[in-house]
Formats: sequence, C-alpha cells, structure tokens
Amino acid sequence: MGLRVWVYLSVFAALVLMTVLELILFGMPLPRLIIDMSIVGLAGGKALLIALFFQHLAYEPRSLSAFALLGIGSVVAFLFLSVYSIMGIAFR
Amino acid sequence: MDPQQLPPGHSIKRWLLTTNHKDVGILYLVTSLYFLVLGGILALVFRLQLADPGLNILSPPAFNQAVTIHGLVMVLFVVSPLAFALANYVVPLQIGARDLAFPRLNALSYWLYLFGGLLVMISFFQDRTLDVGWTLYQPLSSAFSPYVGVNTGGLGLALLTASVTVSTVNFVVTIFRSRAKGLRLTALPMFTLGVLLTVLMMLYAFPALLAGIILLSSDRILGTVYFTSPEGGAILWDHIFWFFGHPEVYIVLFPALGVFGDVLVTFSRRPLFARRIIIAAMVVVAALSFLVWGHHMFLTGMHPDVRRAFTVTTIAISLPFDAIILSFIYTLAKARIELKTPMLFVLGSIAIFIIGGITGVFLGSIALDYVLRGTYFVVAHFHYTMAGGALVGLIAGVYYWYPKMTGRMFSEKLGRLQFILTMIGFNMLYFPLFLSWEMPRRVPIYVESLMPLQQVATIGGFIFGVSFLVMFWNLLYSLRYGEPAGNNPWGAHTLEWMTESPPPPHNFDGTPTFADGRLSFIAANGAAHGEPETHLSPWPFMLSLASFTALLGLTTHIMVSIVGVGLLAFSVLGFAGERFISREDPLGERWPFDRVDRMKLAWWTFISSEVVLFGVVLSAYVYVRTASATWPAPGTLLDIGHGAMNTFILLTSSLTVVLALASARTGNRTGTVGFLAATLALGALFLFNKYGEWSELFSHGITFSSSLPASTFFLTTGIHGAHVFAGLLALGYLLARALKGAYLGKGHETLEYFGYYWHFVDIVWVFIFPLFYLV
Amino acid sequence: MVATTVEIFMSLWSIFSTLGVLVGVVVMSYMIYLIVKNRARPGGPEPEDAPKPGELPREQKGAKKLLISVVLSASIVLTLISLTFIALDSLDTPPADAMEVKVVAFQWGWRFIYPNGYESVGELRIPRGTPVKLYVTSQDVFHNMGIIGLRLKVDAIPGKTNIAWTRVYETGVYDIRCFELCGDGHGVMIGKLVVMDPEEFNSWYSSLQVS
Repeated sequence: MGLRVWVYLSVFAALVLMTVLELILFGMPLPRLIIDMSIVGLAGGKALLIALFFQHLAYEPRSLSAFALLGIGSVVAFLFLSVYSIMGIAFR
Repeated sequence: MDPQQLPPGHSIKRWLLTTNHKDVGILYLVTSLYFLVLGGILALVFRLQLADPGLNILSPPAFNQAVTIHGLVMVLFVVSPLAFALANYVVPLQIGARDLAFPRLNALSYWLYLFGGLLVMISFFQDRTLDVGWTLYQPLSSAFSPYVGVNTGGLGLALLTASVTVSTVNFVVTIFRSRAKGLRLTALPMFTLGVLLTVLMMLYAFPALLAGIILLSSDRILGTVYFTSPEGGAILWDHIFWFFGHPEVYIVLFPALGVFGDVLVTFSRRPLFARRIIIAAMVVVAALSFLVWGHHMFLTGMHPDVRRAFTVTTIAISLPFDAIILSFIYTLAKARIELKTPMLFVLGSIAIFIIGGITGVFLGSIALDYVLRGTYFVVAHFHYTMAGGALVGLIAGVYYWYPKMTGRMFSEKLGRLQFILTMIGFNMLYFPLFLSWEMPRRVPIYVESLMPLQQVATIGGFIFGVSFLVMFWNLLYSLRYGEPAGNNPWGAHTLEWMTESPPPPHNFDGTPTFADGRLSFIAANGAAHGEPETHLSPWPFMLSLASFTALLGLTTHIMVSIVGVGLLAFSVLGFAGERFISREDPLGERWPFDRVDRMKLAWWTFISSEVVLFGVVLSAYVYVRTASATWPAPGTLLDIGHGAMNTFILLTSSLTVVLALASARTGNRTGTVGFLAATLALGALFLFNKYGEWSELFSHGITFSSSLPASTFFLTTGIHGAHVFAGLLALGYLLARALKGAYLGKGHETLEYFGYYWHFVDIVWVFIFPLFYLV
Repeated sequence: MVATTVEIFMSLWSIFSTLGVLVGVVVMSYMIYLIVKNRARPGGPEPEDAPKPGELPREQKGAKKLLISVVLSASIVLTLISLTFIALDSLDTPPADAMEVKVVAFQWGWRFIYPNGYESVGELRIPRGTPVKLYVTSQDVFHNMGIIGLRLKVDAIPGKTNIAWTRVYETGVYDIRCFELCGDGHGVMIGKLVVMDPEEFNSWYSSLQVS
C-alpha cells in the first residue's frame, strides 16, 4: 500500500473518531452552548480534513484553496448579516 | 482544424449543432435582441396605460404581469445575455484562444437560456404568468399566487440559472487557462477583464437565486412553509433575493464597463488613464457587491447595527466607482477623440451612468429611503444605471465589434441617428420619473398632477423604442450592403483585430503570443495538432430540449415530464459518450492556475457554486431557527440513530471513492471496480436509510407542511439526497466503464473529478448531521 | 414645515441634492469640455503615446490626480453618511408621549386600531401637534405604508411589527398608499390620513362607541 492509502485510512479513522466524539459530547452534562459550539467546531474540522486529504487540496497549489475559500467567504457573509439582522426581533 | 467541418451559414443544421464560440455568440446576440423587443413592447404597452390613469388598456392583473415580465426579461434575458453574446464572440479572440475551454458546454448554456425563456413565454398562455414583481416578494408569490403560470415562469428562471452556472464555469476556466503567452491578468483587454469579474460575481450570486427558487417552488408545489410562515416569510426571501440581486446589478454593468475601457482607448488614441487603479477599483466593487444587499430592505426593520453597516457599505461602494469613471474621463485629456458611433454611445452611456450613480448615493441613505423607497425615483435610478449604463453601453459594444463579426461596416449616419434618438428618448423617458419621486411604482392609478410628467415619459419611451428600429435596420442592411471592413477598421490595438473579419473558425493562423512583450504569431505546426477539433454536437440542443420538456410537464401534464426525463437520460448518455475533441494549447499564460488542469479548475468552479447553493439553504435553516421562538429539542423530532448511521455510511463511501482512485492510479482493476461498487452500495444504503427515516416521519403525520422544523428538514435533506442520487447515477456509469477496463493509469483523473463532487456531498452531510440532529 | 418627518427629510434632501447636482454638473461639464477640445480634426497629429496594434496595454500615469479627486469624494461621502446617521437617530426615537396607533395592512386596504380599541378601515384621524407612533404590520402579504406629503414610509410585513412616527403641525388630509406590489388591488390600496384640530379630535375620539 502506498503512502496515499495510509493517509486516506488515517483521515478516515480521524473522521469516525470525531463523529463518535460529537455523539459523546451530545450526552455530556455541560452547558448547551459549549456542547453546540464544540459539535459545530468538530464538523468544521471534519469538513476541512475531507477537503484537504480526500479532495487533495493539501497537495494542490494554494491558489485553488484560495479560490475555494471565496465561495465559503460569501456564504459566511450571507449567514452572518442575515441572521444578525433579526437578532432580538419577535415574529408571531 | 478543418474549416469545412462547419456547414454554411444558411443551413439550419449549422445553427442547431454548432459549438463554435463565434456562432454561439451570434445566437446569443439574435436571441437577446429578440427578448429586447419582447420586453420593450411590454414596456410600451404599460407606458401607454400610464399616459392617462383613466385609460383602460391593461386590467390590474394584466398590468402587474406586464411590469413583472418586463423586469425579469430585461434583466435576466436581455442585458446579461447581450453581454454574453459579445463575451462569447470577443473574449476568445481577445485572449488569443481558438475557442472557449468547453465548446459543448457553451452551446449548452445558450440552449438552456433559450428554452428557459421559452418556459417564461409559455407561462403567458397559461392562466397567468408571473404577476408578483420581478423581485418575487413573499408571501405574495408563495401563498397568495395560486396560478400555474407562476410555477412555469419560476421553472424558466431555474433553467436560466442552470445556463448561467454552466457558462460561468466555462468562462472562468477559459480566461484563467487559455490566455496567449505573455498576456498577464492585468494586461487583459478591459472587456475580457470586465467579463472575468462578471463571471466571478455570477459564480457566487446565481446559486443564491437558484436556492431561492428551489425554496419558493418547494413552498408552492410541495407545501413547505419557508415563506408562508411568519418566521421565514418576507424577510428571509428579501435576504436571499437581494444577496443575488445586488451583485446582479454589477453583473449586468461590468461587461459594459469593459466596453467603455476598450472603446475609449481606441477612439481617443490614448492609453487608459490609471488603468491599474481602474482594475483594482473594479475588484473592490466586485467584492463589496456581496455586502450591500441590505439597502433594498432598509425599511423592513432590520437590526440597527445591520442597517448602519449596509448604509456604510452602500455609500462607500460609490468611491471605487468614482475612481473608475473619473479615470475614464481623464483618459480624454490630450486625446484625439474620434466621435464614431461606438464612441458616441460610450460617452452618452457614461454621462447617463453618472446620473444613475449619483442618485444611487441618495438611495444608500436610509433616511432618504423613508421617502424614496418603492417610488418612481427608484425606477428612474435603476434605469439610468441598468438601461443607460449597461444596455446602452453594450450597444456601443455591438457597433464596435459589428465589423469584426460580419466583415462589413455599418452605416455611420444611421448609427448617429440612433444615438441622437437614444439620448433624447432615454432622457425624456426616465428623467421625468425622478421628478415623480412621490409616486408609487407599479400602479396604473396616480394623481392627475403627475400626468404631464408621465406623458412626457411615454413619448420618450416611444422615441427610445424607435431608436432600436433604426439599429435593427442598420445592422441588417449593412450585413449585405455595408463597406468591407478589413481586419482592423478602427485602428485598435487589441488582439481581436489582428485577424480576418469575420475570423476563420480557428480564429488565428498560427498561435498568438506576447512572450516578448509584443504580439507575434508562432506558425501553426500541423503535425502537433493531431486530430482535427470538433465544432458540431447535437447534444447541447437535445439536453436543453429534454430539460425543458421535463420541466414543462410539471405544470402541464405529467406524461410530458416522463417523456422529458427519458429524453434527458438519452441525451446525458449521448453527451457523455460522444467523441468530442477540443484541445488546450500547450503554450499559454495561466497564472494563478498554472498547475491546475482545466478539468480540475472546472470542477472546483462548479463545486464553488454548489457551496453557495447549500450555504444559502443551510443559512435559511439557521435563519428560521433564530427567528422561531420555539424549536423541538434535539432527539425529539428526529431520530439521532438514523442521522448517525447515515454519517458513518457516507464517511465510509468517501473512503471507498479515494481507495478506488488509488487503485486506478496503480492500474489495479479489481480494486477500482470493487471500491466503486462498494461506493455505489453505500450510497444506495444511505438513500435506503433516508427512505426509512422519511416514511417513519410521514407515518407519524409529519410532512413537508407540518411546521418549519419539518419543512427545513425535509427540503434540506431532500436537496442533499437528490445530490446523492445524481452521484449514484454517475457512479453507475463509471462502474460500467470501469468493468470494461477504463480509468486505469492515465485515465484515473475522471475518478478524481467524481471524488470532488462526492466528497463535497459528504461535507454537506457533515454539517447537516450536527445542525439538524444534535444542536 | 408641515411635519417632523418632513423637516428631517428636507434638511437631508437639500444637502444630498445640492451636492449631487453640483458633482454631476462639474463632472459632466468637464467631460464635455474635454470632448469638444480634443475632437479629432482632419490631419491633426496622433498623440505620441497612441496605442499601436498588437501592443500590450499601457496606462497614463496619474495616480495623484485621481487620489485628489477620490479624497474629495470620500470627504463628501463621509459627510453624507454622518448626516444620515444623525437623521436616523431622530427617526428611530419616537417621543415618549406619542399617541399609539396600530395599523394592519391587508389586501387591499388599511385597518387602524386606536388606543381605546376603536377600529376603522381606510381612514386614520390624528390630532394636530401630537406625536403619533404607528405600529405597522400586515395580515397577509408584504405591503408598504407610505403617507404622501408627510415623507413617511414603513414596511408592513406579516408576522412582524415595524414602528414609525411623525408629528404633524397643520390640519389637512393626506393620501396613504401602498408602495410594495401586493396583488391585483395594489393600485387602489388607498387610505386617508386626516389631521384634525386637537379639540375637534378629542370630541370625536371621546364620542366613539367601543364594543
């Protein structure tokens, strides 16, 4: 087995572990906010691992990662401003 | 390269099958002008109605349909496609390419656009076409508009967004990967630069529109409650629509800015003033354009911080525009200005755009918006920018490149006549509307004191309309009787003028290069070219016809859809199996993607559009959850077991895809086939598990329309599931070919590209799982 | 001045429009001057740096000239933003003693609910000189309530209440119209605002029979 395959297998193991960690965190007696933030953070970490090692961004020129980040940046702007705009507003 | 491959211009076969960028450009040009006539006639009809509120030309529903379709057609089916007509024809010539990177996809964009337009037109003959304003505000266009034609029109828009996505991918890859040696990004002609920034904005804006249309159609057809519930409703739609809608304003404008740049240099015989600052300013505008949408919703009662932020960004975006327009004007100093038709239109368009820009600053001020919102001031402002700046600017482009496209000169006299009529008609039409700044938009009934202003506008509208007849006559007449143009009638310096008019199918004899800082041609080496490139394919037309049929059936008869889906499957296989040769030149300027091959770049561009699509759908979920006072606790509505199991299934399927790739790379056929089959099985298992989860929910009476938590869950995982399903179809195809020994060694890239898609779908699930099940 | 909202609007409007017209006239005159002055005359010389066919693009240097122009516009823009924020503060802070009226927009008309519970459709009566605070919402689709002449506008959105206020100094009658396309009757969704003499208003208001 080549080096790549070992990387694939370790990344997969990490993804599974992180998912199990999400499930464990879910049942922990911690404040809801901390649990939620950690779970979403873990999801972001998993996404990053997949993008870097399964989609091979880690081995591609930086320009491609930068290009991919543009789309994510625009989504973050949309999410942040649209949700902020209704903070503290009651809908019936 | 065999020019004989293309049938002659008078044969219908040529125009149905062509994939050559110049032919596709002409098709775009003719079609967009056709829609211009359609949108223009609608405008003249309601202008007549507006000449006198007592007239009964249009009933209120007819009036609403006329203004709605006028707006949609002009913005989405006229101005942008007209820009892409020029872009199709000119961009490959300006960068020294033989064609776009993906000629068949280019033809596909055109046909999808045409058939999207046809769907919108068919909706006229159903009960009612879209009558809810081109902005499709909610909940008017979801819960309060029961008409079938509105569904059809919406599907037409969906087809258009598909067309735009395909051409975005194509132009991004072409401009990044197919430039002549030495043609750095900053050395690109202004028009190509404008198009590059345009497609980058399209890449992130149009998927948001697609997401909006999917949510809206789902509300209308499946009964979800995104926009019919107060927590989602009007404001959620506003955010989604204007997140697309404001960049769209610059999307229609930027190609015209590019025309300004090229025409100004040619006819003032001077280099552009502060060219690099113009480029930097355009980049700033393109980026900022995604941060200003909130000024369309100042009065919706957004959080004060957000309103202030949007005021600052909106007014601030006028600064880079300042730099751009002033540089254009400073270019005229110490120049030798030839007032030929294209130059006249550019100067006129800049003057009009200045007025549009200044009045735009007014609308960026919330306090003034308390008065100007929803009035004719807004109508006047955006016509000064989008009709005067963009459309009139693009007409300059049509005149400028007409000799290149046809090999003939147009009549200068008629060109000037049109210019005079355009300037008089345009200003008579739209300036009085500024003065009607307290009159509501989209109403046929208004106070009598405004009648004189409205009547002047109507007369202006007809003069503006006649000016286009002059143009059509000029363009048609000169096609046959115009003076021969020669290669470079304007004495321009850019590359498109360094070949014949019209150019041969392969554009240049030899390969253009700027490697020594000046243009030279490397003689074509026949042996290196190998097999001739292909210029004809029936599949773009067939695919579009099939999609059209499948969608039309949704609002007419389900049998039509079934035929359409069958045709679609047939066309997809035909498209995939066709032997179509289009080579990338081995020489070329490709920064910053030198080491990213064109298929890879194309896939990543496509994935970017998918990122925005899912990003908006997931944001909509976060938004309605934030807006809702209550939300079921995790584990109550949804069974965490199902979600966790599907997470593990999909993660494993990602592993099997990369293992299939690794096997293919080393030429291991058993491994390739085995891991592909395993992926297929895991994908099917995922969908089966999902099916179980959904039927369980349905059996408890929880459906699309039950509540926002149910709606968001079903639709988000439904769109995701559809992506998994599409992936399974592709996997079936890959598996069938792998069984015959494909992809081993050299062909393994195909599996890599498929992996991009499959892993992306996996990543989406990685977010769906915690957001819907755990948090 | 007719009303507070008119005051706020007019002071801002006059600054915007003065500056706007000024900038527009200066820029356009300069452009026309350059065009007239530099029109090509037959036999006239070609500029020295004229682009030659096949050349890569060059540029005219002039960052300084442009910088001055942009700094000038930036200062105008900053002024406009701060003036807007000042005006916005008054629009966002209704006086505490305002009379509060609930407005419900519907397809196609306006319903007004007074503090004492009295409801009327189509006509809103208010006393002269008293600040009025409007709580605006909609029972069906997205409308926008605009009072022509009072420079006042507010979105009427189902599920959400938006607030606007004004104080009118003169008696009179104003048109209330819908400024957001809301269906077939959008054009006839017209209401009236009647500003009454305070005494007349009080006698009318106290005579109301509220069920």
